[in-house]
Amino acid sequence: MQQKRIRIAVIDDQSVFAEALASRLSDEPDLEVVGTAGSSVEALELFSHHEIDVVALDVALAGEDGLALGRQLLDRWPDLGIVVVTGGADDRVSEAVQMGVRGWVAKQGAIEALLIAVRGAAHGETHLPGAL
Amino acid sequence: MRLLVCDDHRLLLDALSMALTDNGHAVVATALDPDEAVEAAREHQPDVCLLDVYFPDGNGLSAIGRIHEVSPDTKVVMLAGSTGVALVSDAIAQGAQGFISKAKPIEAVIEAIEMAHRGYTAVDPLVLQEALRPHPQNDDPLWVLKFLTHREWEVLRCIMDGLSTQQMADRLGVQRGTVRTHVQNLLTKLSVHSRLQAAAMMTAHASEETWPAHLR
Repeated sequence: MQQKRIRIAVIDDQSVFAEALASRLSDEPDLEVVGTAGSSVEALELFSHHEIDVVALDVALAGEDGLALGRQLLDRWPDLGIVVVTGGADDRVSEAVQMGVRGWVAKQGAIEALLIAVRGAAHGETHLPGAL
Repeated sequence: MRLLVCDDHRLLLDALSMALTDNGHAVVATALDPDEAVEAAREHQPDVCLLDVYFPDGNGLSAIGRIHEVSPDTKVVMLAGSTGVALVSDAIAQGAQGFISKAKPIEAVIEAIEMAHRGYTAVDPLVLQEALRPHPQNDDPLWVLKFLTHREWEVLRCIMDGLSTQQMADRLGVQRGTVRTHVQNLLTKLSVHSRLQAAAMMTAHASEETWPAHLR
């Protein structure tokens, strides 16, 4: 029996990154990218039209706080797996974990780390940076 | 088109390389920092280098001249998180053939790469409009000299000495085609259209102290 694919959204204000990442994730047979968003408004719009299992979410969203958006999403969809994907510092990891984020991946890392975190998040597992 | 992509975010590097490949381009090399990009440019002589601006240990702009030194025909297009006018002006003055924001879709990045490859300068029209307003640094006609590479200074000296392309090639120990590319890059940076105009500009504004010590 074919396993159900993980439905994923990419939220990042750098469109070139969001689109490129979405394109790369689409190549994985067990993942289905439902769309990308560059702001909380676009993200909520995306969520209103699709069922989403996991979201790859940037912490810094052009003047908005990505974690605040994450909190908002978890309030409405408590089963959502959030994987933070960031080019910045790790100083908000504990805050993220406390609110229910299931993964924290550095943009400096390879795609494999993100794939592990996404698949883990879909199954309720939490993946954090090795040093923490 | 043969591309080199440089960004310290490996996730972007890998994903963008794949997306560019899917769009029919060949990513011949990737680099995680400007020094690696210069080495990759030397080895692969790509048509276009897509280069990030901010790196933990430095600025991508510093690599533009070095890339042109080792691979004179490579067009450099900056891919940046921010597009401040001063930053864009600096990049263009240092020889970048394009400046594109990471907030733009991949389609716009590809368009910028293709424009640069055709010999145009690819900058968002709104940024360009702002950049063309009078800029305090432009009051000094020689301010652009700080962006010349070592090789371009030598070429400028040759121009001042009245050397022909062949004589320059002999003096610098390079091919005539390479000399022409260096001259073209130099004229672009000086915003002049001919060697004569470059010489006239130096005669009018420069003094002995303007030159690097070894070329005086």
